[in-house]
Amino acid sequence: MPDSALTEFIKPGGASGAGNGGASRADGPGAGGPRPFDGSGVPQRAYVTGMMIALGAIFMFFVALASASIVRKGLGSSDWQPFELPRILWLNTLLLVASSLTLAHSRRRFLAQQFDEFRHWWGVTTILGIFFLAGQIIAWWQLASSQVFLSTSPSSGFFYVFTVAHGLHLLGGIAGLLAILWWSPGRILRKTATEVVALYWHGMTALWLGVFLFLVAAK
Amino acid sequence: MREGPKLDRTVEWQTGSSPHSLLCAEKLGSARHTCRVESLATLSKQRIGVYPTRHFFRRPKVSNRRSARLGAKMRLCFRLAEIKLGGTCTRDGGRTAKEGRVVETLDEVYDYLRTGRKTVTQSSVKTVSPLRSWRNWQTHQLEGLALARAWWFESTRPHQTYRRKIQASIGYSRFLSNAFRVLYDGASKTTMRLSRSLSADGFARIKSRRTERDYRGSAAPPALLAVLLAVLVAVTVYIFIAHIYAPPPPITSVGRQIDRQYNLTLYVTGAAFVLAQLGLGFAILRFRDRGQRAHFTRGSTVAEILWTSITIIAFVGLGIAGSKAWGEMRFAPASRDSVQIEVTTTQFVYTFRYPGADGKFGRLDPSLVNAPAGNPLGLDPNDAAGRDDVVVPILTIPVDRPVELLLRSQDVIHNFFVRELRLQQDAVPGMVIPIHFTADRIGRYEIVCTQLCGLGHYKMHSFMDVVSEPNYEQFLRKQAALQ
Amino acid sequence: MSSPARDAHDTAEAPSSFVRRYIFSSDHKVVGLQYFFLALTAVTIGIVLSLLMRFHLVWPAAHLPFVAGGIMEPEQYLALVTMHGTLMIFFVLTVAPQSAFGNYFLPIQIGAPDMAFPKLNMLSFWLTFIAFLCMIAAFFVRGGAPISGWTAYPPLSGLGEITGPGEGLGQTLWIVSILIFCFASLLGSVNFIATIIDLRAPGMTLMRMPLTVWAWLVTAVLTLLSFSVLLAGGILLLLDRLAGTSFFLPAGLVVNGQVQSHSGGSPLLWQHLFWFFGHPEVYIAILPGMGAVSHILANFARKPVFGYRVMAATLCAIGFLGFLLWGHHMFVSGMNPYSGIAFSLLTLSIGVPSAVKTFNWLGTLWGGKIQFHSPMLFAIGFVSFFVTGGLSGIFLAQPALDSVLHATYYVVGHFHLVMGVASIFGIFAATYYWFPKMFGRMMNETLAKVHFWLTFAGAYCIFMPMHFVGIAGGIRRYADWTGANYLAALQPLHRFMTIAAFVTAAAQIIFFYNFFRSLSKGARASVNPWNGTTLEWTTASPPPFDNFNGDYPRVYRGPYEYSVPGASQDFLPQNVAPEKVLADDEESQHAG
Repeated sequence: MPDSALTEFIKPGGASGAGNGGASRADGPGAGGPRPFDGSGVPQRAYVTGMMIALGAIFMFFVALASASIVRKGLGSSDWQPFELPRILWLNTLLLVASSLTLAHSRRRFLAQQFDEFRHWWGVTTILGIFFLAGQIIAWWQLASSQVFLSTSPSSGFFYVFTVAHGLHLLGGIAGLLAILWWSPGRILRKTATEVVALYWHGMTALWLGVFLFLVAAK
Repeated sequence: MREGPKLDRTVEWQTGSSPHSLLCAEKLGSARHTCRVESLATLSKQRIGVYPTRHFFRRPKVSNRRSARLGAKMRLCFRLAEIKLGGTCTRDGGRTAKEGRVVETLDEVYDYLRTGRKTVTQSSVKTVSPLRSWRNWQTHQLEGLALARAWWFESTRPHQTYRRKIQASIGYSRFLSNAFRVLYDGASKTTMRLSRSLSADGFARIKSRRTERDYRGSAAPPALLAVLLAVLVAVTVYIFIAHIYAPPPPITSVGRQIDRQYNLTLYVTGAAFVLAQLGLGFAILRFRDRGQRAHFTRGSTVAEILWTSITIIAFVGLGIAGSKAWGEMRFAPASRDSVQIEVTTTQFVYTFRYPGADGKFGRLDPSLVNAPAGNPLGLDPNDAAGRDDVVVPILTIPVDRPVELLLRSQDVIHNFFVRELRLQQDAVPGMVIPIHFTADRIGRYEIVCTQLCGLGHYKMHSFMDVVSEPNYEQFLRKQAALQ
Repeated sequence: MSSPARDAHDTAEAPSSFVRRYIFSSDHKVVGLQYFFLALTAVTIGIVLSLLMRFHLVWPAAHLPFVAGGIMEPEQYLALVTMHGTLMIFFVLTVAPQSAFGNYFLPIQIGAPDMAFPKLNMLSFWLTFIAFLCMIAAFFVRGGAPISGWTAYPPLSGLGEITGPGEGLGQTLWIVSILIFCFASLLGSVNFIATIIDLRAPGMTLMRMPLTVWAWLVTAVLTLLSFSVLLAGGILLLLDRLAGTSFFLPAGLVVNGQVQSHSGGSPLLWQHLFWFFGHPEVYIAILPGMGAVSHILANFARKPVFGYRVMAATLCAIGFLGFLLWGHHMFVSGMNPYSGIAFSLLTLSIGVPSAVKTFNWLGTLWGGKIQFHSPMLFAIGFVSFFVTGGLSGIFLAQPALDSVLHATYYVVGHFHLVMGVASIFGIFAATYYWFPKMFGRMMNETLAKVHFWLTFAGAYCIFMPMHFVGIAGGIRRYADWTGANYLAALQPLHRFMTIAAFVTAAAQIIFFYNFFRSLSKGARASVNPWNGTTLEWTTASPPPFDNFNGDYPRVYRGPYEYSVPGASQDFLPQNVAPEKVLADDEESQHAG
């Protein structure tokens, strides 16, 4: 891929496409705020905005689950039986945090236009993410083998709901990571796409840290 | 169907039927000018006022009715003026000032039309500055805001089209201004003749009114709506004042307190209801489109703050006043000497349990529930405290003694509601919810379920018998013997 | 989201195949219309259900040919109650004002070619459509539709078929449908918010947005925060039903003589989760109506909105407060009575922004030059209904009075007026107002007026008496009024309401006739038939594929510049440059 195409694409502000008449309206009373939108297709920042809003909704979903869990536990009914969290969750947490760090590194490589490095670290992130999911599956398997199921107790019920919901969200993140890897060799690199996926991934990491802390604290 | 004033209508010449007017109409039609002249009959060579629209505040101070009458004339004048000037008619019925001026008499208008120059006496002309800069209230930028005419959205480049039209229409305007002069004279004579015949006059008037309505809107919708609102207010107020639909009187002191709070709320909201609905009716009637100009305002901070304060005081005040009755009903625990009765709700049945002579409820076990075998609550036969428990389907309580009900449910959520107690409480499975009251009137009252509990919800009811103390004792003895 | 750089509107050309153009279209206008017709279908079903209910209440023993068994059973009545509520609240009041009109007009009003994520938009619609099919399917499964009401309180809704017919597969389908609907709404609201944040035309500052856009923004935020909570709650309820968990189901339940195996859950927890969604949902239904009504009142009163900033601020205030007062649905549920006081005061305080809005609507009318076209009539009707229904809410906001009026017909009358009829009037106003823009034709004004008079009077005749029934102690959700003794006295009032309901429903036929006839036979609409100022009135009717035919507007002023002193026209469109205005004026000076 020629570098010129790349540089054009990763300019700050992203590729807003060939504006139809955008330039002619660049002047005028500057009441348009900092980012005049020229109507020529979707501005790239909208994707980032949209992802942030979507993360807000996802966080709200988990907050609702968490508050339900707090209320349910606060009832003080006898069926809330604490159980040992599988140890592997600590390892999983480390893996996910590490994946976020490698992702941040990969993004920096991207911005520095070192695309091989970028792909390399991006791949590492993906693998770490897949390891995390595998670790979660092991954790579920461990719990199940010690006779802790979804309906055993509300504590285990909430554990499964939290982790499975997070896992499903993370699965989407892995799909995004893979999509970027899939595109990156042959096609144009997409600054916004990487930014959005990275944002989502960091959001998932933060979410997991929150969920994990909550689960540990709830014991 | 009406869809607002339209452009490019053909001429409607209302009162005259002379060849002149027809000619004129044809010319106008071909020139695609918009021109509607109506009710020439109402014109006379008397002093008229014309809105200098750029100076809305310099509106002639005349009474409304007079203003409306003048309005009709003014519109005419301005239509004439537009025909002269550009051949366009704006959408709002032609009230567009080409230049701000006050024209004193019709003659002056015609002079103006014919010559294209103002020949009116200087004293009668008050020219205003053509451009008025205006501060944009949002950006605080100065923006020139002397809009001269309509833009035509139908055209891609409205202003250029418009410029061509102006030039093209100068020739027409010369001709037309003369034609109108002639026409006016002819028409006024015709009108005089017509006005002698009552029927013809009436006909013309109806027709002219219909045209008026075409862009102004008739008074019928606001009037009908205002009447409907007034009827709504009257009927509602009547029903509330006459107490046509009212619950039976309360039988507890808290119930009476709730009724007082209800009345207080009713007065406050009732006043707001009457004022708002009638105010709405008045506003739409008073400010319907009669050709006036809307009063331009963006709002009033003082009014907003004032109104917000009033509503905060009224609403929060009501809330605080109302919390007293609630507190009495729910915050205070039941008194020690109150009669404790357990209420168990199952799908579509209330069951009441009295602790019996020992004052203790026996243990319950869900696995022992067997309604057909006579144990609907699952009383544990091995528990001594439960042996003397009295289980009945109808609630009997002593008058003037505090009663505490312990609400529980076996299956789904039910509710305990007695209108005369002014008390509703859900019975939630997994919870025991206490409520307490002191009934002070003997009688039989109906208990109903108000929480959707399944297909038999509608027939889930029971009774509450409030009886005198001796009768209550007798009831307990009799039931104890039966168990 | 995976292909950000490509956008359908880069080409500014509509897709040519029928399927891509009208069915799986990503054009926000087509999606908006799809939502609109979905809501139209749902509202038709909802009205029919409500008529059956009203009929059954008055003539419970009548033979109905289309009911299995001839006479309607109580569980069939409750199924009607549930499905009427669910269809109306989710598929009409959430879909029509926000998803339908919002989708159609939000991008146009802010000068954008489309929503930020057109494909996502298409996905939200089709998910909503699947949710709708899923909901309707509940009618046709064994046991029929659920009987637990639109609030689906467990344990009634959580235990399965044992608690009643319809609580089997019907209830499961209901929950699944709601979950899909939640997901679709979340996607939609992400789209709305991103569009408003990032796709505004140059010059379109926040304080120049039409109030409709403000309302859609606040509604989208409410949707985002409340539907995610319902999604969580719905998943837990579904697990309780299918996986044997005990989130909402307490121990020791004995249903129909059978002991249940659940343990220790709390039915109140569901109520908290549900109403944390359910109360904002009320505002999701009404806020877009408020926006549209403000918009329409200003247009036809030929005046700027009275207190534009206050109107925007009160929208936000209502949205914010709407999250803090869910507990007023639970005064008598067994919740802590002290929290009842807090919820009561918060509830009454939301009356303040509502009252301020009403005040500003009256202020907008005051001193105006009011033109009574049908949208205006419906907007005025909205104000009237909102006042009436809002004031009756002051009673319900006080726990002491709520313990008398809770779950009576008073509540039914209250929320139908303030949330149902007012919102529907908002929708009608918007339909009549924007029909020329959406379809390029005018609706018949006479029929519209007839429709208005019948509906306005009819709605009051149906829902005002409900207040009286409730005050007298009439309980809602009763299949039959013979169960409790004192209710028989209220039967004449019921008969009156039923007749009014049938008349009002018949009046809706006029609307449908007018609507579908005008689609093909209506007079051609001009670009700006109402002399409006906002951007949707500056483009063709109906708008071209990219809304502005490549000529995207720049915005120079606020949205409601009507009757500006000094202007020759009594409306100043947002996109006309001040220079043009000046040039024109000079030109006219020379010509004069």
